[in-house]
Amino acid sequence: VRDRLNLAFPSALLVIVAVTQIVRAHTIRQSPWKGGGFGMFASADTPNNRVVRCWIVTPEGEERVDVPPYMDDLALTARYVPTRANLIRLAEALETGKWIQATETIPSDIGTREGIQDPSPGPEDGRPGPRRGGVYLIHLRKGDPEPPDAVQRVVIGVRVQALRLAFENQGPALSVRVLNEARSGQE
Amino acid sequence: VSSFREFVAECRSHLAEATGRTAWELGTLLTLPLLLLHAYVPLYLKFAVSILGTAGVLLPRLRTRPGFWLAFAMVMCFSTFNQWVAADNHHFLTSYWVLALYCAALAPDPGGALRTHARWLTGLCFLFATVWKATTPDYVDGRQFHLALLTDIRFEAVAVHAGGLARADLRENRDRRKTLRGFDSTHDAVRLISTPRVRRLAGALTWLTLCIEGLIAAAFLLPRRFRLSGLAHPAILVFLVTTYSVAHVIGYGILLAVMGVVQVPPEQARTRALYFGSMALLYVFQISDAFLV
Repeated sequence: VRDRLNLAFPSALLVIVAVTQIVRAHTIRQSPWKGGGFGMFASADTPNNRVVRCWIVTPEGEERVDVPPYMDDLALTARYVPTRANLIRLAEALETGKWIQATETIPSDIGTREGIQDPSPGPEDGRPGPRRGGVYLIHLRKGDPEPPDAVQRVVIGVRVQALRLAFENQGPALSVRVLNEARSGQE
Repeated sequence: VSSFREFVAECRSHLAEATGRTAWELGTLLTLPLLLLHAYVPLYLKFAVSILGTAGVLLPRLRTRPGFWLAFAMVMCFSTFNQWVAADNHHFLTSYWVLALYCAALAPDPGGALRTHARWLTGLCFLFATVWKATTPDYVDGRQFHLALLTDIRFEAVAVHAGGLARADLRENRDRRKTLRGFDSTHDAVRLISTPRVRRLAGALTWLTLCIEGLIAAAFLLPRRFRLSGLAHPAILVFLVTTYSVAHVIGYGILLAVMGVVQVPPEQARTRALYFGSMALLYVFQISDAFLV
């Protein structure tokens, strides 16, 4: 019996994990590509076609913000497993610390891990950068030096959306579809 | 000329020596470099993998000890399941394979047990891949490969040479998708550039992939009395050479080749040599990655 169990164990583990992943992909929209279900190249819902969008809710209204790099793990989990709990976890993390408004004198890379190496990032790599006509908010962690002329924004909540870029053969075109949404705060 | 002949003769004798090894020797010897070079472990576990892998290569007796493979299996399984949300399928398969080496080391006939593990793991992996593809609407209608050809840099050469798309158009497609992905994007949709030829190519790739993966699953999982099981090795060799010439997931390819070669009896030296050749080819395919921009 022990020999048979030894012989079956790795394959049984594969089956259990794969079935779990398939069930989760169909119920909580876990990424088909990840998680041990062997769904790689089985769907246009690729990891690269999943994004999270975040809004800081202020008394003046909502401002869309980028996820700071030190919260990449939370954002990745929210993208691959977009449950309400995972989105709220990201929203609550974004709610901590301070959000300051980018001005011409505040370098936009303050809240990024790359720091000065990436002084003028744009939408190409998803990092915030001050541009004409837009308001850009920068996250500061506890202990991050605050620029002297920083304008701090009052945050009353955070809204997070997990999206997938759906592909249609007609066109062909990519379009945004909401997978799930969650809010944190006292709105 | 004579030194070249000596070199060829030397290669042949090494190949003959390698193809004559037992399944257990081959499985353990080939898995260690795979883990040392391609194991998906966080930085804090790389040291453990390096120590275990190097010790295994240098000390042959260690490779027969179940405890050695148990330690390796624990490191690999912890690493994969600790970050299972982000782990790719071959990281799971590598962990199962190392676990299989531990289980086989406990068996009275480790080589025979390892062959069975390899057969089941290969078959099940392709069975689930086939089920996923056959039941996903955006795979069956060709969207998955159509999108891959239009935006995935790994498919660029295929899209250009077989699909007739210009490289500039493919760059434009990637830029448009990037625009949509941006945190401050104001777009809800973007059009991509394609051609009817790319769409037909996507349809062909869709069904070819489904057929070969389904064939591999059936050939490995069906009992040996079925004639289809005789196609197992040719099918997986074709899969290795065709798939990984495009998608350079070398760790996955080598793992499948290792699991394939241990199932070949020593008397089928030519089939074993083909597996070794496919492993070498997987590294050759990677050279083109150096030219990707």
